[in-house]
Amino acid sequence: MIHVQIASQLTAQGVSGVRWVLVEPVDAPLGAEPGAPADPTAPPAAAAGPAPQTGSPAAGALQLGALKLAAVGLGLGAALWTAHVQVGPPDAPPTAPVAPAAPAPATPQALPAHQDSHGAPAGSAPPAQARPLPPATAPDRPATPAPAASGGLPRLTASL
Amino acid sequence: MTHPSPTEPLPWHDEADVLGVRVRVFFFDPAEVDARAEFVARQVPILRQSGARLLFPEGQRQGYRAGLLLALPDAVLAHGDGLLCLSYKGGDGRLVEPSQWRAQFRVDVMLQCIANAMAVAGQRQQPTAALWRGTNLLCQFDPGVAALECLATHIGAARHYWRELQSVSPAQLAAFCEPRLRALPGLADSAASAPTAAA
Repeated sequence: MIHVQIASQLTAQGVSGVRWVLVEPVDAPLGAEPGAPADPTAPPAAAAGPAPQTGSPAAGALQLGALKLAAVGLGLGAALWTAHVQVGPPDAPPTAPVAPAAPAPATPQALPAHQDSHGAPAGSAPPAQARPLPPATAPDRPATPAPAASGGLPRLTASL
Repeated sequence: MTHPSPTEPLPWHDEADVLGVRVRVFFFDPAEVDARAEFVARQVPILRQSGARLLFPEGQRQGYRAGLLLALPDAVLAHGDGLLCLSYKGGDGRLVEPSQWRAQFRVDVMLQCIANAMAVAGQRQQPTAALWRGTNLLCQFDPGVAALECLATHIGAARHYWRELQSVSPAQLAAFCEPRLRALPGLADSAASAPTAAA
């Protein structure tokens, strides 16, 4: 610690009435090499010299900017890779999903229990739903879906 | 003008407490004092015909360092067994009315002078008095414990605040410490009559 004495009184002969305080000695300056001795008699021009590049605020800001850019790039790359794996390339047609199985016709168990000798329900014609429909009148469920129109939304779910 | 004997106290015209610093002021006629040839009689008129002498030739400034505090006072004089740290190039150059000096007083100049004296005293290891010479008045600053400790303990923080790598100047230290001194309890009353700087 550096002992600092400030005179509180001034006379024609000298000073008197000392007040003292301790000041911390010079520590390692920012950006300086450790172990470099501090020169207490260095001229002010040397003390106010240009800052070393390693500890300058501009270098720190540059490093921070590069770090941010790298983080954004990594995130964007991960998102693109995930989309490529899940959906496919952007210009390729979407994956054709497997058509679901056509609904089975109504089973005889759903018919009324009273049947005649021919097997038909008594007093009424069998319902139309019970008959197997011809292919022309079957529900419009193609085995393979029509190609998606250009600009259609890609499917994000994969079929198992 | 009469001159005191070596054993008599100096003829200060007024004194007051400003932010924990005892300020003594001596008014003089600048037309007469500025015409004097001898440095001490011209810049420290209250010590005319004393034994004070310049450590370096007039106009040659020397840097003084105490820790991270680096000062470049206008003049340093040897006076008895101590030193005088004199600043006379600061201020706004205006004449100060003797009855209004408290209102026209500049706290930042006062703290800079004390910081200058701290650097000189730290490097030379001698008791040092802080003096400021304005256009028509001479001030001696006697800092109390609170003001002295505030300046001494905030040197490192002031350097970080001003983003200095090697050292902090007395002006930077003063600007950093002035609001902290004003916030200290018990010192606000003495600061109420001393604005930071005259507009």
